[in-house]
Amino acid sequence: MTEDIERFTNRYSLGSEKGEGSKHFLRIKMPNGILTTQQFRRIAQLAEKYSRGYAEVTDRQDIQLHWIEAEDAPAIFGQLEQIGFTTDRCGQGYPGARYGDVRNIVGCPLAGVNKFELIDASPIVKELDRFFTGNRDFQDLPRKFKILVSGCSLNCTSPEAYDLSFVVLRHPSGRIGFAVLVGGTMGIAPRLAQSLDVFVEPNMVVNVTKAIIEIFRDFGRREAKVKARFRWLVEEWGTEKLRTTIEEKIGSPLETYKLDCLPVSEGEHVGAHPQKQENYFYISIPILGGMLSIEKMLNIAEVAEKYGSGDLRLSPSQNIIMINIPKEHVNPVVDRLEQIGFPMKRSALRWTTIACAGNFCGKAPEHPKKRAMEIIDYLEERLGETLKDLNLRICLSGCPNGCARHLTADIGMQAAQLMVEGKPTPCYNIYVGGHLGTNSSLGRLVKRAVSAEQVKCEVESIIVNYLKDNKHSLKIRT
Amino acid sequence: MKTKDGSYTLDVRGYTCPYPEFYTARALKQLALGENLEVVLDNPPSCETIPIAAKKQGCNVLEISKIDDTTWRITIKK
Repeated sequence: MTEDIERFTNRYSLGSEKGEGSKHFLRIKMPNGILTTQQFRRIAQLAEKYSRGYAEVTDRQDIQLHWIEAEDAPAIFGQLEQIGFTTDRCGQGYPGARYGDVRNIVGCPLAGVNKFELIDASPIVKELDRFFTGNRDFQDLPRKFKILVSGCSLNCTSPEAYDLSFVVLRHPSGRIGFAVLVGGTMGIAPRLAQSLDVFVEPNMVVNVTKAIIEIFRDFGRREAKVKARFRWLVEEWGTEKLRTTIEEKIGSPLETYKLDCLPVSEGEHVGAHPQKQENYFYISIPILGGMLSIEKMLNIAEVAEKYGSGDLRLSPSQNIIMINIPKEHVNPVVDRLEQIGFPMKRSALRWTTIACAGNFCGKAPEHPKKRAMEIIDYLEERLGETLKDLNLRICLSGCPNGCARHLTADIGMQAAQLMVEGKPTPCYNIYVGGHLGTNSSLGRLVKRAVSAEQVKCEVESIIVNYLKDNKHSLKIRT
Repeated sequence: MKTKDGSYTLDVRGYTCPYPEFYTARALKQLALGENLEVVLDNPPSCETIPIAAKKQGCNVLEISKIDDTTWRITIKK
């Protein structure tokens, strides 16, 4: 059983968790959220055999399995290796500021097919993934490190929430390249990433990334885990010192580019739309909370193979996108998806709502994903067609760590525990007004300790007031 | 590694799950009956999983002690 285990170290591991009777989870990294139906079917097989037939799309383009037994790890790692995937190192269990790794590298899920992209950034994501995966020089960072590289002009990937983001832009000279944002993080001390005010050509992204992560590795704070994320170094140093140190490392000056603001964030690619390839469409399937059964996985694979090229993408809003669907197949695919249980014709909230896996990690007092489903069902029942074209994002996190990025949502909720008649009772703190892109800001607390049962009514009331007041008075979105 | 008092030490610091328990299980297989293994680790969940793996092999966990803020020692007798 143990003979072969060495070859997996540095590339594969299990995370520890305490909820739902699960001791270990497996977070499978899918750089840029790109996978084929063949790979998806293999993951469905793993889920069936080892994860009670359940899998989750995360909000960072991974697929996560639970209830993994340690003794099954070598077999699972071996199968993942065959289909070309690795896992997070999951070093968050360490008590000290050590063993942080580069997490799954995120990109626009429509890279390469997006009509509104300025550049297909997925080759850069893949190159970065190849460099950092299993690289011993970068496996003992002070904490985890999250990277985003996006070529999408619709700003669909929440770049302000990352340790390091490359956001595409067109320079006044006409060149396509990237703005660089640094030091974003959610959690108990949230901070939106700030611009380094530089312009980086696509062929320099890998070098700049290596330099920044070396800086984090060598100068990041290690005296306490809570102060070890990259944001603290950015705050301590300031962007000028950081920039100068990057320039010393790469051996050339960076080009100054004052980033006034990012484009308004479109949040998510919802529904069916034309690709940049003529006569082809992508179709985004809403998977509220990213929760997948084996049946759903196999159905998606079957439809994508029958009507499209068998290529899938995972979105940072926990959805699955089929690409390369010929125009004439769009309506049959949408009808088929509806028929097999995907609510393709319901409100956009089905696509934009995110909820964390707090019920598994053990930090949430209840099941945030199930609560999200209850809220959306309720809103659709109560508000019906009014919701149809409402571009709002609702996010539910199970604890202050904010894994669902609730502070960046129009309506964000963070679970907590309230003592009612001596009994611990789940409740939510409600935040509104978080948004990314132009004039980005974190949400502000408007209701504290709303009982979990009542939270749907509060959300309805916020949306009704928002609609009444001409969409401005609550400043859900400016 | 064998120490002066006849125990063996296995250092699995820096390894996350499932490696500490796998390496412990492998080391225990190589020990003679009655010999002790001290496992030094810094992955807290392994303080739970290593004793389970050791008991599965019929070994006794003698002690789990904290060496410092980030390091533990588990002493197992085969």
